[in-house]
Amino acid sequence: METRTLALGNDAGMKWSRSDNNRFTDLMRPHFDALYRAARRLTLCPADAEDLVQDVCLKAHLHIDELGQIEYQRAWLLKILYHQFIDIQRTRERSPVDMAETGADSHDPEYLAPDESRPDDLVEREMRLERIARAMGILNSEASSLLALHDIEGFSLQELQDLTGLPVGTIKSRLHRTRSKLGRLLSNEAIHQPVLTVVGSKK
Amino acid sequence: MKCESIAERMTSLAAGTLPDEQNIACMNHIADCSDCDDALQGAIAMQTIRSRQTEAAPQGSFERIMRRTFDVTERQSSGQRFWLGAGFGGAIAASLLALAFALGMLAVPEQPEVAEFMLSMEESRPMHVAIEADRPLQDATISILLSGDVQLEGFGDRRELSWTDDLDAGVNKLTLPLKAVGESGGQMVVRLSHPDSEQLFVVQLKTDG
Repeated sequence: METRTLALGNDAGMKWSRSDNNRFTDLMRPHFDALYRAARRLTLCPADAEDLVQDVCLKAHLHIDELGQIEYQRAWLLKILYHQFIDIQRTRERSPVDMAETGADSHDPEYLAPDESRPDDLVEREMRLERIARAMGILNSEASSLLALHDIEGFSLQELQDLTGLPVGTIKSRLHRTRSKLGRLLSNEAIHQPVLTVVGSKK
Repeated sequence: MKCESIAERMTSLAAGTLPDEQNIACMNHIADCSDCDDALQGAIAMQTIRSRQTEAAPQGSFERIMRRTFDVTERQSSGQRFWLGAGFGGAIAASLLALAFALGMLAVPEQPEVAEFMLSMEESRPMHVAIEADRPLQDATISILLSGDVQLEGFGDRRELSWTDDLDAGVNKLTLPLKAVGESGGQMVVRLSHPDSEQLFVVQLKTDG
């Protein structure tokens, strides 16, 4: 247990500690690998995946009591993850600053997932992933994460109903509507254009 | 087939796992329905992500992320209240009695929260007092007043302890090793005060023999 000694004049022996941190660690451990894998599917490099999971942990920590009480902890955490991912995409879409500014070339094969395929195939696949991510960033976060939980993570309609409290019929129609919007966005030429890269600051 | 039927099969259709007969029926509908065609493209996009191979989390990443989470949350400052609570042993969260305390309300609550704690004459028992602060608080004064047949181990017959310390954001836990020195039990009052406000927390101390 993490503790720090409390200064108390000449008397020693009292301790501060952070019980919530231990509880949070215990709550998160069973879901960590699923979160990391989900993040890894969405991101181009392990560092981005770790950052995404980090964001989820920070948000979840604010709701530790709620997390401890809910039945579908994993779905709840994954929903935060997809929300966060979509928000990041949205921010990136609105920002003139490309990831290239960070020094990481997202098309560099070294940043891509391990695969037996040729680098050209990999690059094409990752560019498609990037386009999908950008399109998801344009969609409504709630609808988009619901779709991801169903189509990517495989949660059933019943599980989504338990998680969201929405009627199954509503969930079905939202899923269909969101898929259609996503498909339309992906057929839009604009989504295939590269993100702007800043070469100098102009105000 | 109607759009609703296609929608129900969309994930399987995108994954290519529908039986041939259903697959043909779906594709016939989609050929004449632009909305379902768009939805299929969306479902295929989701399938692209789903089918991505992933590796397990790197060793040590869980600990690293937890450490960073705690570092960040402890530094963050937000909100305007803290609360006090007491529990026994490791079961703090379950047995915690919390007091909402709004900084800026310059008032002592009329009825302080009261909890019970069972002591033993055979051994000292750790009582945890949890103080949660939604933001770091500097110069909070913590006072402990004891009465009755009880002792704070390591502090002899002292009946009052008071000190000033900074509280971190989040839960700050104070462990007090208490022991009964008689059968009649006693009382402990924890007072937390900040320049603008004060909070009392009373614990009735009983002896289990």
